[in-house]
Amino acid sequence: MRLINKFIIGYIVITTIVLMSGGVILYEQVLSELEHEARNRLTAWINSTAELIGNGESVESLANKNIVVEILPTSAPRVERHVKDTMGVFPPRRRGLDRVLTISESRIINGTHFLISARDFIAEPDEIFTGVRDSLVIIAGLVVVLVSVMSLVVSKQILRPFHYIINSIKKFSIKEQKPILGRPTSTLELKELNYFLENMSRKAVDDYRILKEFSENASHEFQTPLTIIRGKLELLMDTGITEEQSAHITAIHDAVQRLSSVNHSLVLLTKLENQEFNSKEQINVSVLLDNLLSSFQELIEMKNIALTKDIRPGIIMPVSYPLAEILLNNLMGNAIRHNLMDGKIVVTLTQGSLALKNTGNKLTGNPEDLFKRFKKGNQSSNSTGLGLSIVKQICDLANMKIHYRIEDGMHVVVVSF
Amino acid sequence: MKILIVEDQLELANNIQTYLEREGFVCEVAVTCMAAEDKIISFDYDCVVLDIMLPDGSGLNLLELLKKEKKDSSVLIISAKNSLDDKIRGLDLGADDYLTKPFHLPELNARLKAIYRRKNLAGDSVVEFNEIVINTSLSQVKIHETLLDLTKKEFDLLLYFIINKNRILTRQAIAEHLWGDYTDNLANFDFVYQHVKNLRKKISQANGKDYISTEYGLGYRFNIDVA
Repeated sequence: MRLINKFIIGYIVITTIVLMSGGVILYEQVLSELEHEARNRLTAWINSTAELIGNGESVESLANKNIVVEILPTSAPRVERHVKDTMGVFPPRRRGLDRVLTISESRIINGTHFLISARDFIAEPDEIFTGVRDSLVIIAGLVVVLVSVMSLVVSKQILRPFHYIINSIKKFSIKEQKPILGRPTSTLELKELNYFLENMSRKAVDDYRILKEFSENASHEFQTPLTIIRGKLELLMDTGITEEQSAHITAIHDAVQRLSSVNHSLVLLTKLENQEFNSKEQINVSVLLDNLLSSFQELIEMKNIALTKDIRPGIIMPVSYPLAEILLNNLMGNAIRHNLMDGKIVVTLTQGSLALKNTGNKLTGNPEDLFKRFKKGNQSSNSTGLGLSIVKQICDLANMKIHYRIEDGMHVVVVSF
Repeated sequence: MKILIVEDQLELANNIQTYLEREGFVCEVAVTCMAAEDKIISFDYDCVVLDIMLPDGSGLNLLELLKKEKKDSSVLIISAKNSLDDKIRGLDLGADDYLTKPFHLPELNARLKAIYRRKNLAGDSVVEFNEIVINTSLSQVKIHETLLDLTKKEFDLLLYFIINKNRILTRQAIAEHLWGDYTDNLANFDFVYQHVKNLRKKISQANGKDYISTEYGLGYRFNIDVA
C-alpha cells in the first residue's frame, strides 16, 4: 500500500472518530439548548400573561393556542411551576403528533387563583438526530473528497523528490560506478535521505572499485610468475633428474597447474563482471552444442557414460560465441566430471531451454551454494570450484536463468533463455 | 631460425631462450620497447616473441614498426592480458599467433614451429623423423610409406611429440595442447594416457619403433635414440 493511501486512511479514521463524537456532543447541546430556550420562552409567556391579568385583561381575551388560563378555587392548593414533556396534537398546525412542552403554574392575582399553562411544540430528538447526522455525512463527504484531492497534489508535489530517489535506488547498480543522486528539496527529512544515500552509495561504489582493481591486478600479477615457475620446471625436467626429484617436480607442477586454472577462472570472472564481453550477440546454440558434444565424446566413452541427446535445430541463444562456449563447456565438463562410471547424461535443447541431466554422487552441500565461488558439491574434488559461478555470471549477463534440481536421483541443470 | 624475445620479465625471457636454444634456435632478448626497436631495425629475425605489456610502452607498437620497416618477421604474442580485444587487435596488426600466460614452453615451441612451417615451407609442410613422415597440410602420417589411420587428436599429439622430441611433456602440457583453454574442466588427465596408448599401438602396428616412453609420474617423452 502506498504511503499516501495510509495517510488518507489514517486521516479518514481520525475524522470519522472526531465527527462521530462531535455529533454526539452537538446533538446533546442542541437538544438541551432548545429545551432551555423553550422553557425560558414559556416562563416569559406565563409571566407576561400574569401581568396582563393583573392589569385587568379578561381571561378569555388572553387565551390562545399557546396560553391556557383556568380559574381554580381559592382554597385549592397552589400548583408549583412544573414542566410536562408530551407527545400530542398541537391544534392549529399539525395533524400528526408533535412534541409539546407545557409549563404550568398557579398564581393568585387580585385574590383570584389562576392556573396559567403555556405550551409550544419543539423539535423532537430524532429530528435533531437526523439533522445532525445528515450535516455530518455531508461534512465527512467533503473531507474525503478534499483529502483525496489534496493527497494527490501532495504526493505529486511534496513527495516528488522522494519518488525520484526511490527510482534512483531501484536503478542503482554498483557495477555502473555511479552514486545515487537525489533531487534538491526543501523537506528536511528528504534532504537527510538524499544526503545519506548519496554518501552511502559513493562509499559502496568506491569500495567496489578498489576491490575490483585489487582482484584484477592480483590475477594479472600472478600470471607472469606462474609462467616463470612452470617454465623453470619444464627446463628442470629435461636435465636428467632422478625418480625422487621427478616426484617432487610433479607435485610442484600439479600445484602450479591448479593455481593457474584458478587464476584463469578468476580473470575470466572479473572480466565478466566488468562486462568486457558484448552480450548483445546471438548464436545458434544447436550447432555449437553438437560440436561440443562430439569433442567430449572420448571423455564420455572413457567413463562409459550413456549420452542421450535431443537437440532441436536452429535454437538461438542471446549470448556471444566465446561466452556460449565457456558456458556449455563448463556445464558439460561438470556433467562428465561428477558422473559415475557407466552413468547417464541427458542433454535436451528446445526453444528457450537447455537442460542437462546427469547421474552422479549425492550432493553433500546446499544446492543454493552451488553457484557461489569456491563452493563445491563435493569438497574433496580437485576442481577449482569456479566453473558454476562463471556459468551463473554468464547467465546473469545475458539475462538467462539457471536452476538446479534433483529429479529421479539425477542432477538437473536448466538454463532458460 | 633466429628469434627475438621481447619480454620485460628477465627470468621468463631466460626460460624461453634456454628452451629454444636447446632446439637449435638462435635467440636474442630485449627487455624494453626501446631495445626491441633497435634490434628490429638493425637485424632480421625469423620470428619475434612479443609481450604486449612492456615497461616503456605497448608491444603492439612494435607490430606497427615491423610493418613500417617492411620486415618479414613472424610475430607470436605472449601476454597476460588475455582479453579478446587485445587478441583481435594483435592479430589485425599482423601477429601470427597469440599465447596467454601462463603457457607451457613446449606449446610455445610448437606454435613457433607451426608459424615457421606456414610461412617458409608453404605447400611443402612435411615434418620428418626417421621412418615417420608427417604432412601437416594434409594431416597425414606415413610410417615406412604406410598411411597411418589417426584421429585428429592422435595426429596433433604425434606432431607435438616430434616437434618437442627428446623432451619430457607433462600430461598437462599435452592436455592443453589438445584441448585448448578449457582443460580446467577435465577432472584428470586419463584421456592423455588413453591417446598416448592408442598412438603407440598404431605406430607399432605400422612397424614403427616405440619412441614414446613414460617418464616417472611426470609425463611422456619422444626418445630420439631408440634402438
